[in-house]
Amino acid sequence: MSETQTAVVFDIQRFCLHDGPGIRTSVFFKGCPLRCLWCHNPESLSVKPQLIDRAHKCVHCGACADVCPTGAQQYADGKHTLDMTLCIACGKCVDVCCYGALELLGKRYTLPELLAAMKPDQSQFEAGGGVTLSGGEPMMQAAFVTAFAKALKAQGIHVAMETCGQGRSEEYRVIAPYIDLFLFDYKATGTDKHRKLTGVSNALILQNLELLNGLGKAIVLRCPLVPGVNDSDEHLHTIAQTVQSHSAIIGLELLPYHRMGETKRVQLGQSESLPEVLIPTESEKRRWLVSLRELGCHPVLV
Amino acid sequence: MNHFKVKNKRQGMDFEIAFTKAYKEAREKYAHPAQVELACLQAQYPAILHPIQEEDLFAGRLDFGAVGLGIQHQTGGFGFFIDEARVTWALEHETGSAAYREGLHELLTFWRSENTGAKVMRDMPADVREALPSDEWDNFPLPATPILRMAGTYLDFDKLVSIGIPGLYAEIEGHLKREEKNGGDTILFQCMLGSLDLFVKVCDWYREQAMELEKSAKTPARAAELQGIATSLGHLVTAAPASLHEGIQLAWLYGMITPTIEYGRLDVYLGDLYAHDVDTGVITDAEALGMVQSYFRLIDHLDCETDGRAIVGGYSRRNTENADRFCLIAMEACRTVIEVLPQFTLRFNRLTPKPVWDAAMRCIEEGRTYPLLYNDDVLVPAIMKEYGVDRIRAESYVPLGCGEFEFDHYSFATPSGALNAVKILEIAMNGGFEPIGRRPFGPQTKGLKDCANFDEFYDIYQQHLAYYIEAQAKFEKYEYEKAGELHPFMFVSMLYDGCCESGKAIFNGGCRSYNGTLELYGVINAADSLTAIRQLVFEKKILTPEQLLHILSLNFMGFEKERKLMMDCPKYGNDNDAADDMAVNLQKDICRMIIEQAPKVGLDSNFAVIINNAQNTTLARWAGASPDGRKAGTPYANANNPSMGADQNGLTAMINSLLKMPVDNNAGVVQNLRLTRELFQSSREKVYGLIDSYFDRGGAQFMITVVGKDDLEKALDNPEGYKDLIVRVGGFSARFVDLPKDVQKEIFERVTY
Repeated sequence: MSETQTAVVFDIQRFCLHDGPGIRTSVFFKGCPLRCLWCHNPESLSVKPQLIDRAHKCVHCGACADVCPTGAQQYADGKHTLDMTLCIACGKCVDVCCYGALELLGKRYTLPELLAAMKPDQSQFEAGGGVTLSGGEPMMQAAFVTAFAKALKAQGIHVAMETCGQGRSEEYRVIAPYIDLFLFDYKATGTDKHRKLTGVSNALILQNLELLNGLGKAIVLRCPLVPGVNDSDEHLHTIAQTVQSHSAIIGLELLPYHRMGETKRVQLGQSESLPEVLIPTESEKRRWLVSLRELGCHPVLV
Repeated sequence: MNHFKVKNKRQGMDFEIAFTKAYKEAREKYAHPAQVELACLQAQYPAILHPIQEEDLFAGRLDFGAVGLGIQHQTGGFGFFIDEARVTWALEHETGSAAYREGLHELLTFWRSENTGAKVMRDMPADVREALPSDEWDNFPLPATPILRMAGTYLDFDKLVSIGIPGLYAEIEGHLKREEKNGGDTILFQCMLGSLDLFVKVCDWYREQAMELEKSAKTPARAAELQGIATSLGHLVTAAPASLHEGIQLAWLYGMITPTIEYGRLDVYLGDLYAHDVDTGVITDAEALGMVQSYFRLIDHLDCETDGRAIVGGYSRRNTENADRFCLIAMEACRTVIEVLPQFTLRFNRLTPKPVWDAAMRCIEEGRTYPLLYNDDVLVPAIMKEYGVDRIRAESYVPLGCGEFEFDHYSFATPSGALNAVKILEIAMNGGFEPIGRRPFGPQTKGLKDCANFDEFYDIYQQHLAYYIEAQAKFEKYEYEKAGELHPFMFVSMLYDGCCESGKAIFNGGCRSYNGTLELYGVINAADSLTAIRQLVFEKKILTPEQLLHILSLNFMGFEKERKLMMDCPKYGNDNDAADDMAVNLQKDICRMIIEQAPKVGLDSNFAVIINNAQNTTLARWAGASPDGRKAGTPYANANNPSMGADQNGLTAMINSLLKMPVDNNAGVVQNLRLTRELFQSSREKVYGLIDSYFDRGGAQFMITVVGKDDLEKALDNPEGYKDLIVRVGGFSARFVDLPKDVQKEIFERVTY
């Protein structure tokens, strides 16, 4: 892989506590093959850089409209409006906004640049933390991500990867030696259900789970639970079965649905998702925990 | 101003009138300051003492008057003091006889020119006065101010508790004999004996009170406690303390009337008595804890806001084993007495037993903010180097007040001034013109607009800083001399190394080591401002100096874009070399200038302190908008921390920046770490790892605040000030400040599940 090859990253978050052991730095790679209805990082779906408009910060000064080459940004009667369908993500409006209302998500990094961005957290890596590859789906930029993980391992850094499992099995095989821990999503049971909720069948995903299990890679199964959508008894049963039948699965994490991603959808010019779903109550969360414990698991809420 | 926590405060000013009369008579009658001091102490005690309260296990409460004798602001005032505002209020609002009102008026006019602070300001050398015209930092836009006080009185409590009052009498009598033989200052020692007589009188006063109260005690348990107080006080006048109760009673009461507001290394002077009492079954651990809790509550009743240091742990404790045992009791008292004071402090090192460290972490996790953590393994070598002292001396370091170092009962390092780094930058940019008061100030130099390059401007800034730094060092030395001339502070002199041996009072040549310290405020904002000036004015040439000054003078109004440019310039706290180098170099340059003054003015050392108190707000009030994007009058960054909102790259990046700042060129710096309780509870090991890693990498000190949900609710109104706290949601990408308010609220609410 050449030094100039780049990956698109939409965020680097430091001091993460729920993405693997120790205090971690999470790198969010842009692009995802799934379209989960509950996704809380809607800015991750497209691999291309895209504009986000934080309207609550806008003071309607019109500076963005002055420089927009396509007319996506408009300023009329003292009000700013944005037609996202016309936006080409050139970034000119971002440069002139003084109020932090506009940002281009998705920055290109070369491998040396991304490795340099990890340097500030070196002391955390040495104290039991590490880097977590996240996103989006990191395997959509598999060649770069593999080289990145390899370079981190060469420095003795612990590498975890969050993945939905929807990627080329060969590429999982290639990256596996450089990943210490997989945070593997398990989102729905049953092919049709899975397609309905995520946009893809679960066949490849399950195949890759088998593959990683067979390689003996440490896996934590991560299950987003959305009340009334995928938290049926059947799904909980299958989660338990999956955990118990795969020796490589060393942990089970439940991710209760939250709606904080909805704000971002609006800011990205996307439509609302799952409007009728409420965030899980304490008793709902307890029910999941109790059910899974009764099935012999040790789930953790994240 | 502190509000002493006593029931039934004195009404009216009869005490103040009587004190003034006693002072005048003493001045008339006596030539020696010690005689005047003794007469005034006799007028002050027991007059300002307050009764033992229901909850007290020891005797000793007081309430300083509007006039009296103290040692620093929080003990009534410095030397002979008057609280003019309070007396004026009384004159205007209180009713009373004509004679009484005449007395009040007399107080006001007499003390106005007679109080110690006024004398210090009046007799200041002329060249110093020009740089430091006033000590009223809250009322005037000043670049630098003197502080009128002698702070950091660390008495030799270990000696006091070991030899007791009789032992102290014997020592002073010995010194007196020597002075008589040599024709030295016998009056000083006679008055010291008089002071001890007064202390005995105070003990008797409280003993009688305890016996009276015992008669009407509500419960047998309370009666027993009061009897205990009476018994201890009775013993103390005839023997050295023989129990933990007597030890604490003696230390507390003597300290209270000294007056001091530092409590020394508790585990050293109380550890042996504690161990003895518990091992011989005289008391249980629970009873010992009750005593320490009561001691802490009494310290807190002084309400002095800062100071009130109670220290445990660290190298060179003569009784490590007993001291470490006592540590655990003291730590538990810290955890359970949830008050602002004492500022419980742990000096830790490689040898600190795990239970002590774990107990400390537990306190912090519960949101106590105490103990403040000091890393001996980093600080002792640093102190050896910068003060040029041997290891033993360095190991006796004690932080006073907000963090300034002294050597236990050996040196004074009273911080006697504050430097407003951003205000001075403002003046320097304007070539020596202060824009709020609209007057020239300090050296008249080129301004920013006349500088050809950044280095030239930086040098000019250094010139302005030097002007105040030099004046403040001279002032510090002068203030020691003035204090020495006016105040023997006998209770202090008797328990500081070397005074009695030398035959001199503490500030009159008796103290072994006179050191200066200077409080710096706004250094981080100044550094970030310099980074912005360098980038925007000189490197990228986006703004001319005139434009910059114009924009600042308008507090950015109408210039939001330019403000954004300034705010977007690199800031200290993000592990960014350009910004961090500027902060480190500025700190080094200022510290170097301060250090260089010591031999010039005749102090044993002179160091900067960069500490955490409300001054970062009060001094910032008078500084206009600054080139780091800070709006006029808004608070500076706190101590060594980045300015609020400046750290964008997370905690580990901030810690990296903190670790770049030197530890061996100053007399105390505070680093503030703020975390949520949820973080501790969900990721305890990770947080411990973070703290350990910081100290292993050379971190000197931490003040850790753990914030719970109630505090976070307040934060909803000011999320900008709390964004460093937010615990991540697994896999969720967002910057807190980018979220709308309702979502921010939701994240706060997630913090407790």
